[in-house]
Amino acid sequence: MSNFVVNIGVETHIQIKTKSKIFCDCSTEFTDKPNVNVCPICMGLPGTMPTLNFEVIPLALKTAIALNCIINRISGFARKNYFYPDLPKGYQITQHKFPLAHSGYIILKSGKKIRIRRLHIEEDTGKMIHDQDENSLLDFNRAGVPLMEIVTEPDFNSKEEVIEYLERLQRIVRYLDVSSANMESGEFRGEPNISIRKKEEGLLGVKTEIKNLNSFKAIEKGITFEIERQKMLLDGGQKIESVTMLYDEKKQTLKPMRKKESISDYRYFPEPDLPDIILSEDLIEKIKNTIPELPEKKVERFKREYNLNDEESEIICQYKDYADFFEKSILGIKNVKRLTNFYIREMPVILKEKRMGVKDLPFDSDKLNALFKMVDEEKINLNLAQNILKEISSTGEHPDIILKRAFESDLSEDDLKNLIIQVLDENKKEVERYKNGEEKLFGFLVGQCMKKTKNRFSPGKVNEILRNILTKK
Amino acid sequence: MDLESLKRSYIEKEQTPTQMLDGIYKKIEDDELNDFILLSKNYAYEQAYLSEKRYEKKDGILKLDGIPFSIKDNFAVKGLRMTCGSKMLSDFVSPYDSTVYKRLKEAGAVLIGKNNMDEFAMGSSNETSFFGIVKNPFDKSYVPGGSSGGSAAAVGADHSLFSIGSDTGGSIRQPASFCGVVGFKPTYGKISRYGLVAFSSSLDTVGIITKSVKDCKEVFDVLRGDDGHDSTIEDLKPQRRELKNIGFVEKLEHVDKNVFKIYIDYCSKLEKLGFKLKPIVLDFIEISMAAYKIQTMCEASSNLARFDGIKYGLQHFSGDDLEGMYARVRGEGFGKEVKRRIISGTYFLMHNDGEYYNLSFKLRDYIANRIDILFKDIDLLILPTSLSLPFKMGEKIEDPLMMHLSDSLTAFANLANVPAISINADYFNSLPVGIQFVGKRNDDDNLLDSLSTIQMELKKDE
Repeated sequence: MSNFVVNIGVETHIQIKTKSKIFCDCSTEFTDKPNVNVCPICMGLPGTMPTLNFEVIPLALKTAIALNCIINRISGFARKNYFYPDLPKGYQITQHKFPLAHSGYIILKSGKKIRIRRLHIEEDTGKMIHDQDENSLLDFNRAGVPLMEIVTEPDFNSKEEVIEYLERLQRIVRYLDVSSANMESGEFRGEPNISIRKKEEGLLGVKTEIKNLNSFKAIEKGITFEIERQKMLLDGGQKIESVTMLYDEKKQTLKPMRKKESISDYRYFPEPDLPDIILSEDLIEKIKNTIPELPEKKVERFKREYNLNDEESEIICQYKDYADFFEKSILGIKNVKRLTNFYIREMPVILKEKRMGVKDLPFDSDKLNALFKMVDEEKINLNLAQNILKEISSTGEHPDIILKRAFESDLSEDDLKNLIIQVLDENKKEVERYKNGEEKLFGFLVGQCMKKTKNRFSPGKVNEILRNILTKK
Repeated sequence: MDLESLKRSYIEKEQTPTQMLDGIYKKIEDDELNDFILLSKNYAYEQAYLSEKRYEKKDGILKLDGIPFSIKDNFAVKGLRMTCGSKMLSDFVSPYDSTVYKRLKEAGAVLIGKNNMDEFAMGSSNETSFFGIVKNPFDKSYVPGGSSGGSAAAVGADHSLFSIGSDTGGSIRQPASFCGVVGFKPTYGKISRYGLVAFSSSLDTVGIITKSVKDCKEVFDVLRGDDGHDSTIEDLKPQRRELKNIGFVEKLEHVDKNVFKIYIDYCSKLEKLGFKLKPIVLDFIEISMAAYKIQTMCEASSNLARFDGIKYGLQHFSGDDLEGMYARVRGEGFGKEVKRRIISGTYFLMHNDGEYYNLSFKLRDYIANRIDILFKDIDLLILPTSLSLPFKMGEKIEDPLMMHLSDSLTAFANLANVPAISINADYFNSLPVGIQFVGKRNDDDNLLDSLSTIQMELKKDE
């Protein structure tokens, strides 16, 4: 086996989050019902014309700025001509010679810079589905949905780098709220193009493209398969042909698209029905000011300010609203480190069970903050706090109320006294040793009392009464 | 009859819109010009009825109330067939209205039917229509010109008071000239193209065919302006001024000598009316033809790609694979001239990354520039509309290059985005000959006003 260098470039199509399609007023909402979000314009009926939905521009610009791109002050649309049943007009309106932005980058954790060649906006096509009886069915709900296409240089040398890039890109567009970027619903689609070459050769090899990758797993597998396939060909002295490979999720294989379907000449020309997009410095400046703290920056800041480790910070910063919730909930807390676990374990479990995001929870960050303060001020211990969190996550009540109920409703102070006396009876030896001067055993006894009382009393209260009883004895 | 006197006759109860329709439909049947692909009688009588009510009440009478008009069959009217003169769309019913139709309907005008045309507006004689040749109202053995041949014939034969056509390189002006009527192509961007089936999007303009310039202006004012559907609309209003200086040519290549004589005579008439005539040189005609052909063919090859037999139009689903299905549908659905242009356009776009198309844009800029320079010294440019007299059916159809010459005096106005209008100058052997006036970009209102005056002044002399 020879030694090979792998070069991968990635094209990503990301659905831009707008209410209506890019060139007409149809809704972009996802629905299972075919051909309901359509009109004469997105169906490409004769005589119809596109008009640009200007909502798209600021969202795409936000992304371009976040990806460190150079913004073209004048950009324009072009027609990409080819025939396919899911393409209503026989051409796709996209950007060609003058994309919205170019020459950006994303930096991977290793410090490696992935260069972004261009970012442009375009319309999505429809969808062709084949049913069990070999019929081809067409759904045009997606035709005309606004997309950004982001193209990198062939800077990746492994599938791990590709995945990291895509995860970062996905996180950025979600932070910017320009896309929901869910892969399963086709809002975020990565298409790698792969070439390999022998180490001693300087020029890039012939590249192939992989389509139909609907998850990160599929992307990983697709790249692995394709690298293996190309290696086998080159090792066998064969040449690699420039083809488009289709990933088959069920069979877990790659197969080349028929030649007929892969088009080499799109006959691009400027779209005569749409004027150029001209951007003022003012607009660009305004949009720059709407860009929030980006995920990479936030991860670093959280590590620094809240003393989190890398993994914790990454988990908390995965979603912006989650990170924001975190930050609000720990306002004024002295020992944050102790509480981070809530965001690593408890909260994800609750969110997963309820299948919701933080903004849909029945409680807000203030209530969680109140709970955290109780822990911080040692009014309750972590165990109790976990229980209270569970309770507020279903009732939405303020932690004070839950705590009060827990303390007051079923047990009185006398009950507590009795329980403590019980504990002391059960641990006579330790009591003896404490009285003989082993101060640290006090903590042990408090722990035993807390256990006995099933965390229904605050450590402070238990402390106070325990000390009283011990000094009386 | 002009718009104003027809409206007056309704107001004075000399006749009703319904009676008017009866007469028109009878005449259309009697004349047998084949100028209509579809007669929308149900629609028309319904509209006429509503119009009559308004005239009876003498309240809420609209700008074009009860005026019968027709529209070229490449404009969408909801619920009516829109064939574009092609087999491809022979069964296509539009589910939406074009902006021009919508505005005319709102102005109370009554649509009597859809006019025959060259297939997808490609042709200069109306001989490429799938629905048969249109006959010239002046002599049935002659063509009416094209591609808006049905529209021009209908107005010329009093089958409608005005017709809406489309002009990409002369498709309104040349048939207007052949049928002895007025044909106006405004500056690109004045009238929304929404609902006009695109032939060459960067050159297509919606235009008007009428009997008089005055009528043309009235209809133009109803149609013009932004509709939110066409992003190329920019309806700038010119400063009003009198147009006095007219540029004319002292010689022209390939022109029929009888046409040229009428042209020169017309120029002298203008001089007598007090206009200043200045000789100018037009040396960009040949360049304009090259640019025009490349640009229209390239854009057409893309615009007509949507006719693939998948969603509407001619369909063949059985048996074939995808490629075979496309070939069958497009092979059968398009006529010879359309195929010729699609294939040429595809070639031009493929060649060297669109080099030809880009070059055609540079030529357009050059031509526009030259026109702008010309208009520093003159207010109007006058030319014959067509190099030739109306010709006989079959005379040129087998010679595409000769046919293409038909656009040579008109296409440059589309390339330079300037307004142009053809009006009848005279007749030769009872065949009409038109003269074309070209104005400055966005000077449409001044052009129409001047021409309206000229037309009235010259009528007085007759």
